[in-house]
Amino acid sequence: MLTRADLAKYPFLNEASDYIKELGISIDDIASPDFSPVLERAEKRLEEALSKGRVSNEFANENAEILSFPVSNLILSLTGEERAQRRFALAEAKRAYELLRQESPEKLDYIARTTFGWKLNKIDAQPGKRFYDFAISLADYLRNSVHLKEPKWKLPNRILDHGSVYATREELARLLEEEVRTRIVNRSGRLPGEVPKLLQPKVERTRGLITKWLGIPSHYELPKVPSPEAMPPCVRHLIDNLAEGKNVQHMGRFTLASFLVNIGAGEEEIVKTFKPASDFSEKMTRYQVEHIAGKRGGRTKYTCPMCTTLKTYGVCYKPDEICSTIRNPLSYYKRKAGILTGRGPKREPS
Amino acid sequence: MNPAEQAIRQRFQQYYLDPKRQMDPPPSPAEREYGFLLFNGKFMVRHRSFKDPGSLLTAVRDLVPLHVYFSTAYYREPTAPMDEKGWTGADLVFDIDADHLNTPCKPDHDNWKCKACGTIGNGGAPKLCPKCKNDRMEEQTWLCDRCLQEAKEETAKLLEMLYTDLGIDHEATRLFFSGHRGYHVHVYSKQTSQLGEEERREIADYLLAQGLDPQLHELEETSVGGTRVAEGPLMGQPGWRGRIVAGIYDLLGSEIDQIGLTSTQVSALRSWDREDLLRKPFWSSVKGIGMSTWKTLVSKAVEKKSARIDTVVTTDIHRLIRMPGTLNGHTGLLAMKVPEERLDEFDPFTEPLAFQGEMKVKVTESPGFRLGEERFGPYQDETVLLPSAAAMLLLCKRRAQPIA
Repeated sequence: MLTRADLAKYPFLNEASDYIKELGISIDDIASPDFSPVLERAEKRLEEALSKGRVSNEFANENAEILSFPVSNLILSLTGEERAQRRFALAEAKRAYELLRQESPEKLDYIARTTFGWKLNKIDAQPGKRFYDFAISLADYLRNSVHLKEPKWKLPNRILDHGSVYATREELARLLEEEVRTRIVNRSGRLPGEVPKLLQPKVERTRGLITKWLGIPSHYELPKVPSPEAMPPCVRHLIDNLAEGKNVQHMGRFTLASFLVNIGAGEEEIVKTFKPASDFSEKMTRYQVEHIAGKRGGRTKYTCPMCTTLKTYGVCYKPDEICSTIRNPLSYYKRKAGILTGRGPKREPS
Repeated sequence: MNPAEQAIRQRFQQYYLDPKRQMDPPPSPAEREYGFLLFNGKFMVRHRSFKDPGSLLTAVRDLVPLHVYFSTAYYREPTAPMDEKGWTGADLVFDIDADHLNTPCKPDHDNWKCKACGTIGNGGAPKLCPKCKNDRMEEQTWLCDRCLQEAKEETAKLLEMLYTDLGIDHEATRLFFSGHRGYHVHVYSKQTSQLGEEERREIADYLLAQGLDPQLHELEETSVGGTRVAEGPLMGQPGWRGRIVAGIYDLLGSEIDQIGLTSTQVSALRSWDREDLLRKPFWSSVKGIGMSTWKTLVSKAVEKKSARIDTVVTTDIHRLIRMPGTLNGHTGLLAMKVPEERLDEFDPFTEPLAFQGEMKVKVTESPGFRLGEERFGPYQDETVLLPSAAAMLLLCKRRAQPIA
């Protein structure tokens, strides 16, 4: 079914790994001169992914194209930079999408089935104006569509027929992009027992690229000291309401407390935030904050509810531009704090 | 424990100690966590696990809980603390409860009281107190024929969508009466057990048609030779498309005059033969009905056809849910399996009765109700001798005190 040219297009496929095994090439061959096109392409893949968020297609040297993919992955894993790994996975997935969307339904069906284990049927249905090529099993559809925000991916807007979701060829390619991204992320970080010394300079160079394109490679995590300017509109609104002595509902209180716990606010500070509430009880508040922080009860530290949940409960308030790029108030905070301190990603890692 | 609780516990104990009792736990019983809400101080005993139905029955007999629950989730170690249990999957569950339905009888039998300012009102509790905007309410609910009938209809819609749209296997599905104001549907299937919270939310949204955009189902206006023509989904198309049309068909046959259309629009629709819906494109065949009216009709049709499930229950992958075959402490009624083909005829006021004999109780206040063939109440500050099931219902609902 798949040719070597296909493996060059989709080097993340099982068949590509098998092909490399058949070639009898291992990572120890990296020092051989034959290998230099592979190393070159591997570095180019990384540079493209980190700088542009896209990886180009090069089919001049199919073997180099196939072999360079795991090498890029290895170099990146050695840097230990998760955000760069995520960016690389996304860039490779987008590359795959551009190619997949041009494939025949037969090939798409084959790839979905063999590499990703999807259950799907090729169909020929036109229940309205649009023509559908595939009926994808509900579980496979949902696993990948929940990440997609456009309304057309929402299940109530799909045709769901006896456990299968209808999809066009183009839509199937888009869902596969998600699957490819997940697969590459899950694969990265896996390291072989011994790493050839030759790779070390490549790893260092890649670290440099990451700093250049993604910002300082310090732990770009949530700032230690909570900065109110970086809080999303919903959380600010909750704080304002409390401060004015207005009643805030349970979901709002939980959102606020879990948000503050997760951005590293101290317990005292959090309790203080709730003080103006008309029904404030210090003992109760402290107990609940400790519970949310995972110091009591189930010992689970609660995370902040997702934006979709907050919309359902009417906690979402005047979403701004950043809101349209995030799915959780904590991501808003992370992003805004990054922008405010100038330490954030130089461009959208999307 | 107050005298009412003592009386309830005593009868619950008698019930569970009956040698005929058996527990019918769900599949893979040993991989689940069990929880018991005890009478004493309403304390929840959780993180218990049982290898077999026998040891579960022994525990129920020892503890005599007010409520018995099991986890919809499967764990490697069900007795470990929450974050160490090792989640391996969860049943897909649905809860349909009168709490989430807007039945017109609610003001007759439900009431609420704001915990903050003491404002009271009839009907289901509002989200916020209209006076002080507090959200903590004390609710007194009752179960009535009408509410349970409506819950049954929602359940039937749910099951239809589960089979036809979601492709859920009949064999994997169990239907239960909750012992209070609704029905539970459990799906025990490998196909759905691995779904995460967000995926389950999509399923809940699908059943509720939450976020459904008719345009994405090809309801739109196009131009044919210069005239604007409405187009949309057709009867018989899969999923929500056909269901939208079926919903409009139903509306045309019933409450078409109650959905906020003008009388001209209503009579235009009434004089049109709704059987045309069953034939090919009909959207542009009704004179005087344009796109915006169709949109209103579609949104009403969607509302009518959706199944009003409790989203929280479906999306929670660590949920504890009532164990069928146990007594519901809110009513003294049995939570029980309902064979699906019998849903229509199932009488929640006859079949789940668990107690024999008679009891004398002093009723403070209660709406009228039916149990079995008999009607009771309404009562107001009176002492009555009642069949035990009726007396237990009043005791569990805190509407009565036992008389020694």
